[in-house]
Amino acid sequence: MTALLAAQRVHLRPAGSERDVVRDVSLAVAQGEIVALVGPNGSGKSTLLAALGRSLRPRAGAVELAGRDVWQVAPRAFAREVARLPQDPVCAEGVRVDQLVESGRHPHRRAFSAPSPADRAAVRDAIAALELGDLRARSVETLSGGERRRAWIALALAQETPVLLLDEPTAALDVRHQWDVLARIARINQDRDVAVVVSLHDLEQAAALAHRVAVLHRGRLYAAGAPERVVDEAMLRDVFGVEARVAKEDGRIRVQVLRPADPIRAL
Amino acid sequence: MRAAAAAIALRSRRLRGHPGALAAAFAALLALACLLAIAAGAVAVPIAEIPRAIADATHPQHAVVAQIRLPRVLAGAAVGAALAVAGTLLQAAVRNPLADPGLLGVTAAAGAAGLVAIVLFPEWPALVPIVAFAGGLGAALLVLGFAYATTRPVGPLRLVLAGVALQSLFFAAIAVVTFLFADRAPAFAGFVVGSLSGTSWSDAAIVATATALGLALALGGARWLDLLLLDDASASSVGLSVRRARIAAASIGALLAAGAVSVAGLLSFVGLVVPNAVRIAAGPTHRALLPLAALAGATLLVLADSLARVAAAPLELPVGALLALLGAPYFLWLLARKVA
Repeated sequence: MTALLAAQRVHLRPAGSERDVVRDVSLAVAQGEIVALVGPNGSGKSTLLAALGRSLRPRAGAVELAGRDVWQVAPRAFAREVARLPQDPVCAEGVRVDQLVESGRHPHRRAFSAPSPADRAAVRDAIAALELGDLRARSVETLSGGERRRAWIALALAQETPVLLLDEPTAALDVRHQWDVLARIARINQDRDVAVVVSLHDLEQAAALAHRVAVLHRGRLYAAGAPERVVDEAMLRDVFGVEARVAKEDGRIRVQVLRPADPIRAL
Repeated sequence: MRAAAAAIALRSRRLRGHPGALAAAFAALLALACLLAIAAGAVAVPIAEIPRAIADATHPQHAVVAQIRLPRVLAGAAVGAALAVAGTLLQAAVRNPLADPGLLGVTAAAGAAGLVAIVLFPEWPALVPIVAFAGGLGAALLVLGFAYATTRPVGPLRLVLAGVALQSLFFAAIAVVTFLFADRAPAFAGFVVGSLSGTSWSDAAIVATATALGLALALGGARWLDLLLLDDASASSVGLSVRRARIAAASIGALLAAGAVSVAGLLSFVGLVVPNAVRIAAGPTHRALLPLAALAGATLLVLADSLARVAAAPLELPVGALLALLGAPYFLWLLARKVA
């Protein structure tokens, strides 16, 4: 498999930070592949996604899109290849769902021209794919958390990019809506052969969704590979600091957290 | 009063999504306001007589209507539209509905520059709007430059705070100039409070040109302004150069504000109140918001200026003071409504 989007030995320092939050990390995603990014809070997941999404320039190393340094690609051209959904996206009060989704067409539209039939079709498809038809005329701030997340994913989908970067798309959702969002991501990946890099907190969800799991630990890549190879008891102890039992049931990886690995911090 | 407000709110909610109907209603209101403004004053002109008074040079009220009221109404409409559109643009640039040309220091800087021009080159009155414009634009760029000239994350709040600081700096400059050249104080008074008194055709032409240009640029950029309604990360994810879009929006806003200040002085509240009120009826997207805000701003200023002329006749109130008197309570009502 050839890499579509790849970080190569990147060192990353977010604006305002005094030190490199991500150090010497390489990570690639191929066409049609889902890579789940996991790691404790502050391990550098969002920072790495920002660099992959060309909004943070690496201090060392490079991010390449089909072999080309992403900083050599114009912003709009890049936005036709890679869509990034940030962790807590917000829009002004009163923006309607269809207007929000339509802004995903910006990189495809020519200046000073009305939306083309292709633009309208992409917006329609994205709204249909996330079942937002009944909500399209509603203001985004009046939606529930799950609906709102779907509206933002629809925006990224309307960009019709071969690569999708999603920063904790399940955060702050209840369990049912978490699985709902994951199922939709899997569906988008299958139907459109889109490469997805998604950061997640739930290891079972990451293992169920992704072809590969990449574990970040204190800004370094601890491991990356097939879920059953990466998600194990040693990793949970080293990276997350918990004693856990990892088992395989019905083809699914189950993680049962027992206690903090450090006895002093035990309850 | 309450029932009337509720009825208007209900109607405007129904009209939402029909910007064409709203625009027609707003345009009709503006036309009516202009007719009233031309008719009212020390010399009353019946509305039915207005077309003849304009066209017929021998009409007894021709001089009053054609040389005094018409340029003043045109300038008032252009200033009101300019301030409302400038407010809309700056609110988009800093992603904060509480921004207005005054809050960012743009009008204060344009005013200070204009005053300096009045003092230094009293024999060149045509220089005032140009210098005022340069001052307003300079302030906008200074605020943007300050907010961006740092490695820390740039929040719109930084822009607002930088603007507040600059605003007090330029108000201090205005105070110093006014104090040092107290002999020219009468010429300054109208400028500092904001007034359309004694507006000539050349004043009207300047502000109308700046307003038409700024409005055309803003409408051309409506799609980019809409993307500024998203957070920075989302906007740049769809390929927007957020920094460039912000600077462009603030620059066009400065053009409009500076044009308005150069003719009418420091008018407050139009740029703050009008876009916020129109947003309730038309929503936040700019293709509908910009023209409607322009029409509403023009109507508001033409009406307020007429009121300023007739309310305490034969004295003429400065329209800036009147606008602040009306605008501040209305804005507090808007805020309370939002909280509720």
